[in-house]
Amino acid sequence: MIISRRSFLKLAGSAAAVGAVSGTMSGCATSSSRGAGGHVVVVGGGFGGAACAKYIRHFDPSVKVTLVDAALSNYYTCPFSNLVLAGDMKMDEIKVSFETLKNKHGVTLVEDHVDGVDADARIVKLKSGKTLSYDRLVLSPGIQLNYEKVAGYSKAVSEKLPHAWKAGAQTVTLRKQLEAMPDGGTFLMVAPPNPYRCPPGPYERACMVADYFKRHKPKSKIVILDPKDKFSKQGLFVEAWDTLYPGMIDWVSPERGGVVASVDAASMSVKTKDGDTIKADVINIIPPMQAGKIVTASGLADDKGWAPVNQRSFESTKAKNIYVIGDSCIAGPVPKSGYGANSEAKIAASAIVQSLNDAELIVPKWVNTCYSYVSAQDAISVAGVYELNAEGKIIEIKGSGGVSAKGGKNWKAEAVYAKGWYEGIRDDTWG
Amino acid sequence: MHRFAHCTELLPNPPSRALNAPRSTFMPFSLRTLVVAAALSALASTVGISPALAEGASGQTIGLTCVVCHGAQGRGTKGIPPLAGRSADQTYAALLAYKNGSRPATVMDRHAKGYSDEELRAVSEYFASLPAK
Repeated sequence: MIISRRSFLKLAGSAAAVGAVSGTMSGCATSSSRGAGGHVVVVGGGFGGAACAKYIRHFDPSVKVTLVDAALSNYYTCPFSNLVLAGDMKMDEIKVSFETLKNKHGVTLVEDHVDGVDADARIVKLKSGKTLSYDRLVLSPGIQLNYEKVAGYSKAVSEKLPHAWKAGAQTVTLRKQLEAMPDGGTFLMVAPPNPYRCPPGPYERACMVADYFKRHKPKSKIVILDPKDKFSKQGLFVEAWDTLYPGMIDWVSPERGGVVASVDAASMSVKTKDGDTIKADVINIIPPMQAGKIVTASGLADDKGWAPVNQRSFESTKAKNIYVIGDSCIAGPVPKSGYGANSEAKIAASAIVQSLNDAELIVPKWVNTCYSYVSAQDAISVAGVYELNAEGKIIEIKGSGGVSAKGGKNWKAEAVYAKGWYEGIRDDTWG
Repeated sequence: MHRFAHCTELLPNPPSRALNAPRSTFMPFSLRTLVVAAALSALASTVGISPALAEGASGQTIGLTCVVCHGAQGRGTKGIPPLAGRSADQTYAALLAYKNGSRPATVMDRHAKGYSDEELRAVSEYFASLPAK
């Protein structure tokens, strides 16, 4: 439904003609409305889940919202965690508090693990043995890492060869390893195949580790083994690598032997499909990913491991009254980013409130902006604006979006805006 | 006085079938917008106008994506200017200039090109209706 002034005027004109609405055009009306109530359970307290919980309360305070996450008292954002790896930020600075969601927005918090969903009975089962009944369920669990898809890798091995792709303890582990590494050592990163959380993330990480090496261990090397022959903001990243860290970063494409066959934690080495063995002092494996476990375990994912959803409402195409947002869902060209999840959260929140109130869906629009640091003082970005086409598919609007200009002239300004973005999205999501 | 009591969203009073209740303490016009939208939509179908995607998104729908950088309720963040309470004409002129490339930008040119002029006008009016910091 359209609420712009132009379309309102058109509708109002029609309304006057049939005398069905006595509209006024001034100010907030004197009467307001209350919704139909209901209970929405949101699983996952990240950029998608927290924003969805907040905005459902925002759109309709009569709806009770319960947010469930096992890490409510120990939650860190992935954005800016690469700055922690470089020693430019502390873990405390990327920690999130849920107090405002509870105290200001009236979201009920439950710190628990979700064990299962009964879609017919509309019940969420928690590890503690408790259950939560829902009218609508939002699943925003992020990603699960497919450790077993990398031979020699496992959750246990990841304690030694961290992924650090979920900010938290692994971020600290990888930072400590980088700090302990001798000057002249090698940092080896295994980049993931598409699709995955935060497309520019691995390459920002390479920049930030390089920035740390440049300042503290200038003889060190970085090797990125990549199963992809191209990656997000590639031209800009390569430009930054050549300008800021000449000779330090070796990106190994599949053509050059970048596809990994196996990893060996004991000998701290990685074997490629081409038969090379590369030894390193610090190894960061970012394994293939799929939708969060609760999504796949509930049968809401497709054969590739991601959740298909109605692109206008984010309701699962496999189960009624369950909405999947954020990294777990398939949202066409909207990337698996914090901004993308936040944008999807608001569209889903409005769709949920509308469905509880038997109202028609709004015309959606999604936005993404991902800043990536190329050094502690420099950043680049990719942006996109998306809409629904007549076939119900999300498309990037022609002529919009794209990456920063080349040449580095906006690096400093974009580093300032990146910090503003971080402050803003944290406030919009959890504040 | 309620902090949003001066908002100037261009909406009619809710039709009589809408539920009446005290205002919420948080963005009270939001649900109203949705309910009124539904009522207008029902009305539109009775008079043969069907809401089409081609009409574009509302100022609020668009505005809720801007606040990620421009701060909650458009109040600005470090280094990123506030939008709330700015005159709609001023914001609209800036957005048009970003869209047509006449105003230098780092990222706003890439965003502005994703909207029709009507959508840019609508989002400008949305932020003008919010209280300045």
